[in-house]
Order: sequence, then structure tokens, then C-alpha cells
Amino acid sequence: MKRLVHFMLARSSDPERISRRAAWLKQSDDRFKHRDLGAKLSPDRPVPERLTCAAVQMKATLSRSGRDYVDLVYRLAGKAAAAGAHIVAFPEYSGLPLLGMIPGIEKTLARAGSLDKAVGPAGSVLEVFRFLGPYADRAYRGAFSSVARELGVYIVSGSMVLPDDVGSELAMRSLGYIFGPRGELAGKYYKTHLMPAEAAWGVAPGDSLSTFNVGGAIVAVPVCMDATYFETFRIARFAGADLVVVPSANNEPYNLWYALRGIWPRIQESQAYGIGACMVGEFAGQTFTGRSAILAPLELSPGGDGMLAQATTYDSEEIVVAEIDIPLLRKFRADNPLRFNLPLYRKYLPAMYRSAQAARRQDAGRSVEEGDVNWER
Amino acid sequence: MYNLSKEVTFMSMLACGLLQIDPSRFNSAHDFRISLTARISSLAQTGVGLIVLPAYSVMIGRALQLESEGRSPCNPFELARSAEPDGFSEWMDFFAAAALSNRVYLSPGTFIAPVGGGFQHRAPVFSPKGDLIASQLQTHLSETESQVGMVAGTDLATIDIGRYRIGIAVGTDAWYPEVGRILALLGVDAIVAPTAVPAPYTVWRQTSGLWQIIQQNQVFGIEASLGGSWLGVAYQARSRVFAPVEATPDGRGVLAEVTSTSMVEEMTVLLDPTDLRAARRTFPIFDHFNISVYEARLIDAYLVGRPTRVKPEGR
Repeated sequence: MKRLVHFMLARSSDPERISRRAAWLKQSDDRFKHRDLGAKLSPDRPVPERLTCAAVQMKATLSRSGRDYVDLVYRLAGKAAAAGAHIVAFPEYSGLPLLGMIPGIEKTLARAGSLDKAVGPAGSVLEVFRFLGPYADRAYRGAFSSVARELGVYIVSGSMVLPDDVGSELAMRSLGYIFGPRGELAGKYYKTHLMPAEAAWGVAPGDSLSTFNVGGAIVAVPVCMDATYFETFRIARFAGADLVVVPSANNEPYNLWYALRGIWPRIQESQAYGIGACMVGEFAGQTFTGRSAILAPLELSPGGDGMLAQATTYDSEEIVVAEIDIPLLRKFRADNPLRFNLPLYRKYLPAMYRSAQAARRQDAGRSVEEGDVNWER
Repeated sequence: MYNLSKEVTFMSMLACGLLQIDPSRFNSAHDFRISLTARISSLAQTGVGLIVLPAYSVMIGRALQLESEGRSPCNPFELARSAEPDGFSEWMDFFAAAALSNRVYLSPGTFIAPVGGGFQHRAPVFSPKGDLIASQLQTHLSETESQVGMVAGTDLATIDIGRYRIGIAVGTDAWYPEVGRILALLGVDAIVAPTAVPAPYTVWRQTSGLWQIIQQNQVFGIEASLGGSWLGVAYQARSRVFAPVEATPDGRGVLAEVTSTSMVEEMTVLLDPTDLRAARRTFPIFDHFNISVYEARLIDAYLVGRPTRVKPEGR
């Protein structure tokens, strides 16, 4: 039985089949019949001053095969490309539909109401990701690579929990890829700050924050929770990032102010452009919400609210498109320079992180024991 | 306003009061002194343990004195020079006396002090005994401040008030996340921010400042803003007290605020540490620091940034 499942998964995730499907989808797509998509953006051409960015607000679903999955990715990226996008960003857990390749999982998830309940008390969510990992990874890469190639755009894939082979260590990490307009791999990035549930599953945090050349723009891709921490954006900004893409999947009821804790303040304090791509909808008993957006510093946004474009809903599929102007951003930075106080930082950072973390944990433990009655320093 | 019991500071909660000030409403330094004396006393009588005033409040009285002498400084830096050689010592004494007579901790806003050829922006804090227990320097400078020769501090002080620990973000510091993070790492429960933001007010400008610092550090934030106009600049105040979104009923992260269009108002608020603990349990931000990444990358990253001019060590 297990061998049969592996055979089915291998067939379903075959990159060649996925690639051929993507090519067929493009050939039969009337929107692009007379457009030379490859000419829009190429690593060999001068960088256009204005780049059109798209955030895919993707509804959580299940795909039964790699072919179904590439259909989904093409449908969403195709809308963005038809709107003129050079860079298309997908949300966190954009690879979640690939769980649907596991035979019978749709019914299991419907009955269980959550991933944790689906695996049962003796099971492990991480083991499910690990079991599916090699197949999910090649289907995931195959789908995004071939769709990027067919549409002639850069695609930031969002993320998925996938096996990450670094040296002798095989860890399961939340990671994603950037593919260029020829389908080439242009980058791989990691979530470096985990949500409590991910940490409990045993997902390993990433240990690097890289920047990438995406059509001439320097791009960083912190994932969801990473945007809660200013440190990720400072590192990205000083590594040259003009554009920061944040794929996210927030499983909480939508509230503007809760949502504002992520990418929005980070864009303001780091003087960069941003793409926030959100997962929405119901999946395994979880409700994902968010309003995808293209963001800018307050001073560069027409409404003064830091938004160039924003989804009109927080629970439906949408494609959000806006143009960014890199020379304008660089002029803004030159006119409004951030000035840093290295002697101050050196006194406290990074030395105090561990002691402060320990103190908060100790305080939390004490407050549980004491029922939050006393407040002793 | 709440009617607070004096004991709340020393039990589990900190009662805090804010004064929003419009300097243009005062005809003389005497008026200013009388008004502030009454308002601080009135707030103290509600039982607050800490009172916070907007940026520049230490300088307003001196500016009014100079105006009455026919000398009208054009900006806070010129005022700081004009106020020499006594500076703002008379007004520091006034605030020390106000703290002592009302038995409160008093953060009377800020003043700019000429130092050498430049300036420092300072936020003093007085204890209920009238002692100056802290004088926090601004640590990050705007372009204008940098151009006039202001120098930044290289320390962040914390002040223990009963069982509470507070820190101060002076002026522009409220827009630099490093300040809030360092103060939170130092264990503060609340960050006091005396601000003076030129009009027009936008919620987005304010949200990008102290509000977001509070959210990523899960502490309280107390922002007292200057209103009206002063030395030729219009200020649009919107004093607010912030908390983690999880600790506010509507999830907005605002515990109390000046809601009227008035530029002059007081408010009081109770800060309950159990709210912070609950928020931290729900969303344990500090648990998921990626410290090895910060150790490897963070400080080196700043080496390519533009440095600010800092106060020489030991001065």
C-alpha cells in the first residue's frame, strides 16, 4: 500500500508533466496570443525604472495532483501577468494545496477540522509534511518555475513547509523560491521567525536572510511572522533591499489593527516598497484572512496611508497590482536619511536578547503559577 | 476622568495622567505657571502616580518670559541659546516642586540644551520627592536636528516606579524601532513619549511611531503631544495611551485618547500588567526571536547605514 502511494505521488508530482501542462495552458490562453511576454523583463536587459508588482490573494484549497496545482498557479499568475505585472508574489503556505495529492486527505481534513486533529494524538503534522516533502517540493518548484517561464515574469512563490537539505542536516523548514522569466531559480528564502504552532510541530527556523536581484530591483522575502520583527527589515534594508515581499497566512478573524502589525510599519521604518500577499479562506478548520497590498512609505503613497493598492476584501481571491518607482524611492531616501546610533546599539544589541527572552519566559511562568495576582520585580 | 485611588501605583497597576498643552493659549509665563500648577494638581488628586507632559513643555515658560521682554525666538534652538546662561533652571525647579508638592512622578516633557557648539534634546523625570531621577537624551536625530548640530545620547535609562519600570523615547526616537526594542529588552513595562508633531495630524504618521513600537514589544505606550501653535509652528496633538492590540477591547491598541478637537485636555488611565502578560501569552513575540541571526547580521548591518552624531562618552 505504501509503495503504491509513493508511486502515485511520484507520478502526480512529475515536473515534466507539470511543465508540459503549463506550456499547454499558455498556448491556449487568448490573453497572451499576441504579446511577447519574455521581452518585458529579462536578466539581460536594463532595469525598467518602474516595475509593476502583483500580490496574489489566494484562497486556500486542495489540489489533487501536480497538474491541478499548476492549473491553479497559472490561473492566478496569469491574471497578474495580464494586468502587466513584472513581479508576482504568492502568499505563505501557497504549497498547502499540494497536501491534496495524498489520497483520501480531503475527507480526513473535512472530518478532523484541523491539521493537528487530522494526524491524531499519536501522529505528527511535521511527519505528514516530511512524508509528502520530496514530492511536494518538486511539484511546487515545477509549477512556479514553468508558470514563470510561460508568462515571462518573476514569481515569488510564497512558502511551504518543505525538506531543506543543508550540509548533512535534513530539516523541515518554511521556505520559498523566486523564479525568473526563463523559469530559472533566482533565489530561495526562509522563514526565520516561527509561529508558536510551527515551532510546536518541529519546523526549524531559517538561519539566513538573503536578498535577490529580481529584474534589477533588490528584493528580500521575509515570511509572515518575520515582519513582526524590525530586525529582519533592518538587515534586508542594509543588504540593499528596495522591495520587501512578505507572504503571509494569518489564521485569525480580520482586524485592521491586528493586520497592521506586520509589513505596514516595517515598510515605514525601513523606507522600502512592499508586497504583502495573503492566504485567505477556510482550510482544515482554520480561517485565513488578510488584505493583500502593494505598500510604500507614507510620503510616496497617494493617500498618505502607505498603500499604493490594496485588496478590497479580506476573505476572497483577488489580484492586487501597482507600479513602484525605484528611482523615486532612492531620491526619497536621500532626502530623508535614516541616521543610526551604532554606539547605542552596541551597548545593548544583540547581547540583551537572550536575557530578555529568559526574563519574559520566567515572568510568564510565574504569572501562571501565581494567577497574575502579584507584580514583583 | 477616572477617580483613582492613590494606592494603585503601589499595588498591581500604574495610574497615569497626561496633559495636552497648547502654548498659544498663555499670555504670560505667570499664566502658564498658574495653569500648569492647577492642572497637575487636579490630575494628582485623581490618584495618578505618573504625570506626563508633551515635548518642549520645559521650554514654554521661558519662551513666554522672553516674549514679554520683547525677544521672540523663532525656533526651539534659538530659544535654547536665548535662554542662556540660566537656561531652563527656573522651570526645572518649578516642575521639581510640582512633583514634590503633588507626590507624583513627573515627566515634564523636554527641553533643548545648548552644549558646546551644538544642542541636546533632554527629557527629565522627577520623583515624588522632587529629585531629578533621570534625564534622557534623544538618541536619533531628524535631518533638521542634525543640521543644527544636535548630538544624540548613547544610553537609554529606565526608571522604576513602584513595581513598574518605564523608559523614555524622546522626539524622533518614537519612530526608530531600535529604541523601543532596547527599552523592552531592558524590561520596561511602559514607554513614555513626549512628542510635538507638526500639523496636519494623520493617524498613519502616529501609527508608524509609538503604536507600532508598542505592538512589537508588547508594553504600554504613553504619548503626550503638544497642540496649538508655538514659535511659529502649528502642532496637531492627539495624545494617546497605547497597549498591545490583544489588551484593548476593540483590538485597536489604544487604551485612552484625546477624542475632542481641543488642543488642551487631560486624561488618566490605569495600566494593568496582567493585560501585558495575557497579550504575551497569546502572541509570544520574544519567544521567537532568531537570536543567532541577529548575532550574525544585525550590528554589522548598521555599518553601511548613515551614522548620527553622538555625545562623546563621559560628557
